[in-house]
Amino acid sequence: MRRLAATVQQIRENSSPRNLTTDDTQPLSRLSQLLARLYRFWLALALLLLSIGTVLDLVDDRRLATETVPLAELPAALIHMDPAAFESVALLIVAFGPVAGLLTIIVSTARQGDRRTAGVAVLVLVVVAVLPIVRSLGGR
Amino acid sequence: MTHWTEIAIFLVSALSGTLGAMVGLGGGVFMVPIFSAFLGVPIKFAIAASALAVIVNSLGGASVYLQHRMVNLRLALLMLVATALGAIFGALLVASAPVNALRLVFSLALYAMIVLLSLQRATTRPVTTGSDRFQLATNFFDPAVGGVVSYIPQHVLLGTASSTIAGLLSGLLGVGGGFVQVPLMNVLMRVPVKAAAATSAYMIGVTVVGSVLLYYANALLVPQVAVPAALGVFLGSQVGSRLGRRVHGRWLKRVLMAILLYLATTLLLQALGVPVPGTR
Repeated sequence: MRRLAATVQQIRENSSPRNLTTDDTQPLSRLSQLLARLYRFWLALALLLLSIGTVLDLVDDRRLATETVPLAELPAALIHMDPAAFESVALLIVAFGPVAGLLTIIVSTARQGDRRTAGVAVLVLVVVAVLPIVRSLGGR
Repeated sequence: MTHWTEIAIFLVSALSGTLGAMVGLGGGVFMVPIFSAFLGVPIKFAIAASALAVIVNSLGGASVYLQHRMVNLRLALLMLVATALGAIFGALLVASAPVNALRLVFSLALYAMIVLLSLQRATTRPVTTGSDRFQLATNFFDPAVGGVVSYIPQHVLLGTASSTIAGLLSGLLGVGGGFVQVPLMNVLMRVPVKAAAATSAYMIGVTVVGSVLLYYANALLVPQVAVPAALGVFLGSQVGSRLGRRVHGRWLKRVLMAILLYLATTLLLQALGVPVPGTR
């Protein structure tokens, strides 16, 4: 009976994600946790701003904004509590989420001396940055 | 646009996000046709909102998968180089090559993937021994099987090169490309379907970043559409990524096959000149 209880306990421990391996100490495992936290924070920030913008919009004219605010006009629009400005900032924050993730990977892996992963991440960032330029040239 | 339309956009996005996060897609392939054909949203606004929603879905879904260490980060980065390059070529092809010919080729490729997936057993045995030149071997806990699943991705160079196709499709259709990445990783690279879906969920967000920034610059990202879409997809991705961990790989594969069939048929009809609601 005691052996059965010990076996059940061992199975429980093994099936917990926290205890599945010893790779808690491995750099990529920690990086995954860091990225998960960053993504959650990033989304929370974007959702907070989206909520503020939506509430201001509904109070103002009961409709969501029909266009975003151009980048150059964003600071002034934010100071004037323009709902569209909050929504625009939130949408931009969402868009830069994956870029922030890539930068985190680059910094984290470079610090750990994992040059290969850092190098590949830099390459991805460069290619991702090139895409909008190429598309602009393509007339899209 | 009425409040009911905004609510409908939210609900459609939530459903797309749930399904998308479960199988590693952004959900854009559902949102664009439904928004434009059934909700009266102009197609360009629908595509822009969908691309943004793909990022939200990726951030929301990947955060859960990253937390549970299901995303193979090294594999994702390696494949992203090729995917992003493919997206550039796709964007260039849109402007210069006959799109219908490309659509025909891609639809045939998707049908071929469906056949491959149906031939492959749902419980594909991952490779756990052998060489790992790129240090991509990893493991994750699968609650559905109640244990740790280890694997070493196979045919890495071929798989990475082939993921260019996902990028090409992303550039052509304004989608994340997960519907190519997941079967590619699962069938060719022998990555367990859940790890493939998780890794793809991370990748699709990075793939569409460039497009979204361009949409913003061109004033195509309309808050009236993008805000309810983003909120709906966020909710859906949270539900989908949690469901995805508990549902058996067999069911995930069936859902994926159904999505591929829908996409392949849509592309084929477009290539043959048959009008498909909501498509470009």
